[in-house]
Amino acid sequence: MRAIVTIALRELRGMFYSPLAWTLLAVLFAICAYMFNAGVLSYQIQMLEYQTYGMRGGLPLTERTIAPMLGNAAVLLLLLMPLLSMRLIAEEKRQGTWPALACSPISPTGIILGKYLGLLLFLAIAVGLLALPPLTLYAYGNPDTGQFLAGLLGLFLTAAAFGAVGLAASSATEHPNVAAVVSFGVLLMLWILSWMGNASGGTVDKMLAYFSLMNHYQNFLSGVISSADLSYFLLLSAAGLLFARQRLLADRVQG
Amino acid sequence: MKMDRSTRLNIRSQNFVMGLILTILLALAAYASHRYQVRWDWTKGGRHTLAEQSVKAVKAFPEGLTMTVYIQERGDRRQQIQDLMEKYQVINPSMTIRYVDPDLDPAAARQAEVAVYGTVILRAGEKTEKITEASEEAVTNGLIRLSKGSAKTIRFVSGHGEHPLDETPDGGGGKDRFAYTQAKALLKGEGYGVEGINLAEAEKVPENTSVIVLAGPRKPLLDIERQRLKTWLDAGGRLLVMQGPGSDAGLEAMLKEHGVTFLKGVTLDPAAQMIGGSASTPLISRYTVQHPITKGMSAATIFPDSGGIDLETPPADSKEQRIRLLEGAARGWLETGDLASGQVEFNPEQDRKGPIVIGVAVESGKQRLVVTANSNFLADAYVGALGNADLFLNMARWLAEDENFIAIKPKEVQDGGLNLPGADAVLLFWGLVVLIPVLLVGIGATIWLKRRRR
Repeated sequence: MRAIVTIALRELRGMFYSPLAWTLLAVLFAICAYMFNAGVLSYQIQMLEYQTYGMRGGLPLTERTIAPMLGNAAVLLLLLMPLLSMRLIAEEKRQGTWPALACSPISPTGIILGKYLGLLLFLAIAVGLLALPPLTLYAYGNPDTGQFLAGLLGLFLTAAAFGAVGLAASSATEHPNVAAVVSFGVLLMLWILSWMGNASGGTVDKMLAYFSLMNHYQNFLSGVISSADLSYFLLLSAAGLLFARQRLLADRVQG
Repeated sequence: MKMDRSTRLNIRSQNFVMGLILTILLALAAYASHRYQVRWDWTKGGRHTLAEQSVKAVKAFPEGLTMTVYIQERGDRRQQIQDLMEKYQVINPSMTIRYVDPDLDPAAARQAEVAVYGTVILRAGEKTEKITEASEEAVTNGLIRLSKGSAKTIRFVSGHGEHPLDETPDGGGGKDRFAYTQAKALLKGEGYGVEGINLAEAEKVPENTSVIVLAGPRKPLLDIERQRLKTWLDAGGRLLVMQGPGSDAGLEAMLKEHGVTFLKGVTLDPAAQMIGGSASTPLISRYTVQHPITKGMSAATIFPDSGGIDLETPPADSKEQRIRLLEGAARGWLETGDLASGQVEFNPEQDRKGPIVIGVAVESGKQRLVVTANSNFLADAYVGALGNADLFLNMARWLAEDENFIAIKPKEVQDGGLNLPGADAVLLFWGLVVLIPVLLVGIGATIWLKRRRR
């Protein structure tokens, strides 16, 4: 257990020593903040129209500003996570540090969990940072805290699943670039599966709809936590990690 | 450990089997988690939670239930309906949802007699319920009706030139515009049995009769028929009398007991003319009285060739409730003169000034009575217009005591409003979009430079 934490912290430190993590956070934050501001602006305009026409009820603030921002953040992470996860194992293999790690008394499972934990810590920081813009709304309005928290949880779980897929891709190759392309491809495919998954409701359609990342994330954004969505992300993460573990076990045989 | 070929193969196959087992386990877990799910609604006021009645209604079908939604594949409503249906499905996982695009599969839509997008057919075993509006309120009420499975029968009196229930070609071989074939289909869609009855032949009204409808008879009923009808009504029967200017049921005495008198003349409504109709087709667009029949009605209804009704207020000692259900032609009048002359105008001495009452509802004890001064609004030529079909179904439901309609209000928005002054918005923009990212890059660059210098 201690070894896992050690690896995780080493990984996290490595990320923040290089400019990559900082740049990534800056870009992610800048774009999300921009979209958030745009959302707030359009909300104000819509509210004005709403009042002009004397419509009763209100415009849901969280639904119109925070949820879209978090939704877009997931798309951005879909682009950025492969860059972050591509090096996790492939880089070690390329730089020749892998044999040292592989021969250490730590099991492949331990190594994978450590690396993944490091990634999760980074994601926690990123999600925490992205919570800042919505938090400013509390000074001026009355956002729905439950929905906001559900959205943050969803974003974290989505990004965690992205990371696990990236880790799997990274374990499958020695070239970080290839790992990035593969994980990006897989993630994008998973993201857009729902485009076909909403047709007539046959078994194939239902399966497509189930595998679609977007369908599951959407529930979190609307403030609904479903055990099915939770397990989807946990299972996807588990699948990525187990794949990576099987890969490393197979590597050992060759070595 | 010495690795020869066979151990290598052995370990590899072990790994492969392990991978296979893991995949199967993951798939099983995914299926189980999808099949049996629990939901928590974190929103303020539980905006995504079904009302208690809806939960109860859908749980009443443990052995399964099919909802077939007729909706176009693309469009916003599709997603809304899908979200709603899934909420029901989460509560009752044995429920299946099917989607049919009526544009892509017109044959299926025709078979199910789907007229509007968003029609949902609820099916449990042999029983079906059709709802034309996919809101929580409508679906839940549909489910309640479905679970009750009322085998209630509505009987239409025949034998006096009433509107025919089935299609009978007129002399020229065309369809009878005044037939009630669609009205019959509407009732059947709601799960009612629809049959004719000849009161002169039947010794008395059959036991299982929920409602008797008298739709625009041309000739008065025979004495014996009147008597049978009155006996039934007085014993707590439920009757719908529709009688336009050209028809006469001969029920004056019986209706008079309930304060209902038909007035002579044809209702003329200049307002209907303004929206492109004919003045003799009064249009009712506002339902002012609070009554189960008109509750929730938003679409206007039209009554081509309509008479008027005079409703007396009940005597003080009576428990009878008399309600002016439909009132129209606020700026019109009841024309007693000859319409064919082409010269019609309001004649204060003979004509009654609007508003004219077109429909009334009377209730006392178990007894329920609806009288309209028009029977054409239900005819095939007009029943599809605006809210006519809804009005009729509401009448039928109320008469058949199926009106304990459960009202479910849409959840209110709890987090509306934002009071963000312009200066603060500018500050937020610069702070969030520029300052923080620059800070982040700055810190990153500093660390990197420091480490490089070392």
